[in-house]
Amino acid sequence: MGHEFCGHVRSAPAGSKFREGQAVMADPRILCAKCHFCSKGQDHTCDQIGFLGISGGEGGGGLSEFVAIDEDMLYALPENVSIDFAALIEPLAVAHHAIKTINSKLEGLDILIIGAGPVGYALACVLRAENVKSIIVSEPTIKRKEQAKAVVDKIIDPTSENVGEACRSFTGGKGADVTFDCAGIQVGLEAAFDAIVRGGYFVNIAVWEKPVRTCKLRRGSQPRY
Amino acid sequence: MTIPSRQFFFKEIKLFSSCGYNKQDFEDVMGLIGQGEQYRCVNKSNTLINGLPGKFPGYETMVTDRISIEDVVSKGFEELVNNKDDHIKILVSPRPLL
Repeated sequence: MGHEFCGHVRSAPAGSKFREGQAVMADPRILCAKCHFCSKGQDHTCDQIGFLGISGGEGGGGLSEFVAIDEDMLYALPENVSIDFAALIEPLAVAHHAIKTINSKLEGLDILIIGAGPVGYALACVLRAENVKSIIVSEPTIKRKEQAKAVVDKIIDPTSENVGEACRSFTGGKGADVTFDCAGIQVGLEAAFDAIVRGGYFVNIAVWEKPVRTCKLRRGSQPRY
Repeated sequence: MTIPSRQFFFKEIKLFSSCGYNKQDFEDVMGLIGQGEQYRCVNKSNTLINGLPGKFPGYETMVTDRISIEDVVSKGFEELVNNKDDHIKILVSPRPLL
């Protein structure tokens, strides 16, 4: 079990670029390396994708004493990066992928994140490096709100505030240019659609547990903006 | 899940999805995380962000507890079942903690 892990090399085969004792971070994915998507740089959508620590098998995972891993999936930790935090690189990679989906620069934009769990938090860290104008997060729980203070500009409590209105008021009436949904629940999605600026982006990073439908375009049945 | 279609249509909302990461993303992050100086700045709420070197200020704050593998059931799994909202990441070490 455990797919977010780092460690030290115990043994490397002859000719390997790694040496014993070296601090490394693992890309835990198991890829087929043969399908169309693996060959086109879209290996995140590999036909046979699996994970060390999730898919079972003999390779082990984060909670096993040793892991057997392909050296192509190992990365040497830079010397100034502490191994005490290196396991967080995995969720940061999830966030880094998400900010590339819209194919547009995020610099100077107002960003809303729905949910400050692991992915929402990692997103805030990655967005900070993109020089966005502001990072707003909607999060109801006390501890996560406290944690998020370190990396965001504005925290909205969706249980006591209207997320759309709070977002517009924080962005000079405009709304969020891009919303990342890291919660995957209906009320979060509705808050996001309300908060997004006209022409803005909604990026889903959550796993929706039910099929998606659209409701009918009946006049007056839903807010237009 | 239901998408509010009036807002989707009239606001021309662009809908995307993002799943995991690919090899390029992992390489990018490995490169970025070692860059830069010790990061010290304040955000708009005047909270000091004081990170290790790297492009991703504050990522260390994601860690809400550190436990030894001996305690992974009680302080890891059971803690997440009972107090999920108190945590972001609990890091587990195979060695006893100092």
